[in-house]
Amino acid sequence: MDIQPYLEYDPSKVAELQFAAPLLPTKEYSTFVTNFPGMNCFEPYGTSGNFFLSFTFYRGGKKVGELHSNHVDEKGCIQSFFDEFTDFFPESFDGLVITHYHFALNVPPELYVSAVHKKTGAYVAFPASAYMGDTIYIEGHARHLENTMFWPGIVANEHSQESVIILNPYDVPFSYQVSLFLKDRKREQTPIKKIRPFSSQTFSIDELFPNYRDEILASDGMCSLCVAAQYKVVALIMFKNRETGIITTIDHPHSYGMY
Amino acid sequence: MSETTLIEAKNPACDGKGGCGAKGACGEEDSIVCYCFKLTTKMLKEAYKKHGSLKAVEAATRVGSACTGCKVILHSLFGEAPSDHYAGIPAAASGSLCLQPGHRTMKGFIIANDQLESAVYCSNAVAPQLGDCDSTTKIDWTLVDHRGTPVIMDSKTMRTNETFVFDTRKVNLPRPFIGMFFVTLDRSNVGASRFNIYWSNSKSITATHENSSSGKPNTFVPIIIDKEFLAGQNTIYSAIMNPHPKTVEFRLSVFDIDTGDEVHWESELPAYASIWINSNEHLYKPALKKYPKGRFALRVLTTSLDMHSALSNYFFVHNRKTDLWTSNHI
Repeated sequence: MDIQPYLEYDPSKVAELQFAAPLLPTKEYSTFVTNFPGMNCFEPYGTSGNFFLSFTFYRGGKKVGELHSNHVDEKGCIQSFFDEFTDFFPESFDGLVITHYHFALNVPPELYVSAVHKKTGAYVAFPASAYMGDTIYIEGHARHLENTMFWPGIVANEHSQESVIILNPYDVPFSYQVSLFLKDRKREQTPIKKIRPFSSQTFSIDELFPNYRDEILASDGMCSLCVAAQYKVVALIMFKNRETGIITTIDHPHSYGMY
Repeated sequence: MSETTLIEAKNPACDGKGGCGAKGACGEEDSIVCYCFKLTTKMLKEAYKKHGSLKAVEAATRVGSACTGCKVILHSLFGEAPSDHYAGIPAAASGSLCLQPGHRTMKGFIIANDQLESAVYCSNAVAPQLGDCDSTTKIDWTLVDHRGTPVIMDSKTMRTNETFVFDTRKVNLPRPFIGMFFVTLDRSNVGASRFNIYWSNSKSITATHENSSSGKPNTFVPIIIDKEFLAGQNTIYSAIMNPHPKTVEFRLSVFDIDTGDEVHWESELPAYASIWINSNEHLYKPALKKYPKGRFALRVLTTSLDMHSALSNYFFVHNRKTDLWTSNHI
């Protein structure tokens, strides 16, 4: 096994990766980020204290605040709470947080956003989506179609509502369309939608495809979703309990793999 | 419906009439359509005015000829079908657009007991920008139980844009059932096929994707547990699967994130076997008994540290107050 111990903090040995995540309504949820730098490492590599996170918060395309985590080594744990931004995002899902992760090379970082429902304590955790900044990697863009994300299965019923969250962490607007693949293999599409820079949009499936609600309900879930955008898209799928509004899932769809 | 307002109307840099302020970049006209060749809507519209057809614009600007990701927008902008730059090129040379033989295997955790039922959905949809692409394929699937023994195997033809489903509520399984679901497609390109698993009870649905052997021998459940958490309404469960054809030794370590104190268990999982653990009861409680003031996390470590023997893991949180479940992969 080829293990390269890290050197003391040296910018040339440190990479930066950007993650984007929606901010949940702060009236209902307490949100925070948990990260273990040692995740995916084979061994602890020393104590160079290389790892930290910087968060930038946006609402409606405007920057509203910043937060910086403590520094930890690869054996540590970073937890950053977003409670101080409670006033900015009381009820809606239009908040966006962009996280810059400063990490040692050779450590593939992952970080999870957690949210606790204030009234019931219901806990949901999901990986923030890494998007490598606004650099386009042509090969990756072509072979993974990173502007085209799929989510197999749509199970909407009287208890659960499924929604699509689109994030734009870039400084340019982009357009996108959501496609619905029905049980009979027909494809329906929304009109072209637009999202401005540094913002987030959330649509329930009911809103996106109001004419197909019954067909989806009767399909036993045998439908799929696709988000196709101009640019590489950061999208998430969310499930909520209809009665309580409690979120039971946030997870990412997959790029169309042509490899 | 949530916000669908045109960007121009809300961007303060815009004059509200489709033009931009001094700072430039705003609105659809200035947004980039083709990132490979840095072409904006405005540039493409001007090129179209000059050249008269999308085909001529493609020839003049090379739009749509690299990654092909903007074809859906080109179609919408000009109402003409973009050229198929892959036409006539053998699939092997063009990166398998539609069909190629192959055997990519995907795996996910299945549970059917008095807590949850499982359903697998796998899509054979084609990306809209690829046009009328026939992606018909054969799908083979196998359900193995917690010991790794196959209990159901089947295959079918999956047609283009079809969504496959397997639902534990519709098959006769011994209960309680814990196991793993394998899917193999008769094609090498993944397309849209990475499957999702939906776990549900009568009140809630939670879902995430198949967790192929992720190559991560050292993973963490990203939840911090202390005495207060354990006294609360949430129970954490861990699903651990061995997707390899060999026994894998592993260590479950509950460690204090501040002091490093830990309680650990060493065990092994036979080939294709899986386990379901009430982590509150069997992992966190013993750790908190030993270190009552601790703040703990759970690490799942493949003892050999071999990324090719890594286990696949999911975590679940059951909120007992509401009887709602959440989940995700690690």
